[in-house]
Amino acid sequence: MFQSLHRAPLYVCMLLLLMVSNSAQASVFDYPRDANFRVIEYSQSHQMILNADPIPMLRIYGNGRVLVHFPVYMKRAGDYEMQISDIEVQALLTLLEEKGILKFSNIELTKIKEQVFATRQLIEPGKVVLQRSDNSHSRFNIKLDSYIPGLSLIPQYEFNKEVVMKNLRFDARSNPGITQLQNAADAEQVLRGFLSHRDLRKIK
Amino acid sequence: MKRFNKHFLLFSAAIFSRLASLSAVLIVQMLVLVPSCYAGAFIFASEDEGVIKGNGVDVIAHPASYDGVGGVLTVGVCIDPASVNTQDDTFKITDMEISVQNIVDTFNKRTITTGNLFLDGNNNIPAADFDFESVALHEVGHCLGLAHVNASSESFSAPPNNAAEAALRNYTKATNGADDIFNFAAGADGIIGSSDDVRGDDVNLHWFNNTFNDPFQIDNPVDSTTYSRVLSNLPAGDVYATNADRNVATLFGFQNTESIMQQGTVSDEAQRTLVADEIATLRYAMSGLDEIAGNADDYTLNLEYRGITTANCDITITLKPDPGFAFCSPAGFFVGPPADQHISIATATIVVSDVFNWFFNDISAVVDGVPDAFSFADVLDLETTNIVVSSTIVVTGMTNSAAVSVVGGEYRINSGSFTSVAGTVNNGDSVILRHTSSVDFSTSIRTTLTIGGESATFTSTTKGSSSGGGGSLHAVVVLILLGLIWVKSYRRKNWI
Repeated sequence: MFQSLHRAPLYVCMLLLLMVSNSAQASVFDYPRDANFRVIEYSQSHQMILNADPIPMLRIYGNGRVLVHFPVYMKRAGDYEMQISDIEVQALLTLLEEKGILKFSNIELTKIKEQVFATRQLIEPGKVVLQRSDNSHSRFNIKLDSYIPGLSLIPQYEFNKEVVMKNLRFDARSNPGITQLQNAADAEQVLRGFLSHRDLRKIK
Repeated sequence: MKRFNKHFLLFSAAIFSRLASLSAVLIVQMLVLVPSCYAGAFIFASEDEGVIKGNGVDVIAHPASYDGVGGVLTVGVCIDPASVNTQDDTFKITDMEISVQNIVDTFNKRTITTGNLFLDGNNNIPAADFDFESVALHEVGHCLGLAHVNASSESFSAPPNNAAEAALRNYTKATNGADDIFNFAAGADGIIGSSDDVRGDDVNLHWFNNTFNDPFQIDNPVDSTTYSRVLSNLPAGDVYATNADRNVATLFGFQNTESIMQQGTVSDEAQRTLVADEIATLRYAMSGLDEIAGNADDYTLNLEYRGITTANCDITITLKPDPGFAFCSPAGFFVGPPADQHISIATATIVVSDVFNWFFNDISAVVDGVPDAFSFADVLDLETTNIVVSSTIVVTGMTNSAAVSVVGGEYRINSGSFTSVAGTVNNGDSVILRHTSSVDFSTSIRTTLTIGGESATFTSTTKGSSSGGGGSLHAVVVLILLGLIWVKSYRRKNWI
């Protein structure tokens, strides 16, 4: 599984996260193993930046090719790439599933919003807290030919899940008791690990 | 397991085809995990959203734990000593200081400007860099209680997907009303944010002048007698509170002019001075809890740069690794009476992410960096042609470095060398003077030190030529000798 010792911290993190997961029945993720099918995409957008770069920061393709892009206004501006194995792509998908990225629904959204508000009122009664002034959005996009969740018999063809979360890490830190936020932030942290991976080679 | 599931998938495809076709539909879910804070001209203003209670649309925000007592309200602004730039080995924390000092000065002067946008070759910023001073100015505005003037990221659950969606953000700040949908439209002139726009049931949050509805002018006084948030108080013919963005500014005849509280910046853009809109908003808050200017609860806003410290900070600015770009995170409490109309900010932190290219302005805009008065004690009864050193002064009361010059001697800053060449001195520096005492008795030498327009003179004076014990002794000896000579001469003449 480990193509390079350099990746050890990233994958140890992934394994630890997977160990605590419910693995009664493994899910099935089916996707073309080719260089043109984007399986996982992660990006961030900042509403203060008007000349935002639309290219996603992280793209992982069906053949395991990882592309990282930093806009011209960032310190590490340019495009980078590295290669991971099919097992590693599967492990990432399993991680995203376990951390709830593939399952978020609008009902969960409403519950989480109310939970954040209730927690805030409980901890600091009478205090008015504005989380932050200028928002950033984390965007996860997972595409599969088919997806069968572990405890389900119902396949989902042409699975395409896009999840956009506002100020994810900030909210996770501010609300340590909200499990869904912690899980989503964990998933983001693993994907962001690719952005500074030692195996990345600059290609442009 | 995988192989089994693939067979199962094919076998059951027909049975589940109906469900499968449903699952094949593109699922796009926009999740917003923070209660929307539909902040307007004032940062905590918001309406109820489901079971989540808002703070109210009329809420006014005040800085620095304002408690309703008028006078000078001092806001301490600090740079977090823990600031780091993990992306740039050449970064020094002091790189942030001139920008922060400029920001403090800008908010203290509250000078109305137009043409405050400088793009591309019209500024000192590299093409791929964001201007730290401009972005931090915007964030300090938030920490003082100002909200975005436009329908910004707090208003929408997801980032814009195209230019048309992005343009929606030029509408003036509002809540989305009872139907939870923004109902705005650009009106007959087609310009978003202008006075003929449509609101629907959206609730305006922008405080406008009742007479001219022009965010690039300011009235006097600024309080509830001249400004309002309720659209029925708009001037005749207007139906919408105008937004202070650059497109609307052009309608009013101002080029390259925009409120610093309009959300959004681009690389290679400088916006370091205020327009009338944010000054009016600050002054409205300064009219106090009664929102009437001229009463005892009025305050005057005074920002003080406290340095790279964690002590006495109302606003702390930190540069560090962060997945965001730049933001202010304030926390406050309701202050009254009335009990539910005013929020005072107790603490505020600005986080600036170090992963972006930041330009740190090294040109001070502080032109009145005058220190507190200082003086040197005179020195008397000196020997002639001796080197004389003054007492030490500590420079205080400046928010920025200042020019230092000397006439008639030399000066030394801290442990540096003595020099007569003009230089710069910083707040907190120690300064000492020296010169050579006069070659003549009873003569003064003067050295004048000037710092930022403030001057003081160090004077040394030599002792008098006929004064002092040594001189008297000489005179006595001479008189005795003359006396002895006279006695000897007298004896010879008289053969005594």
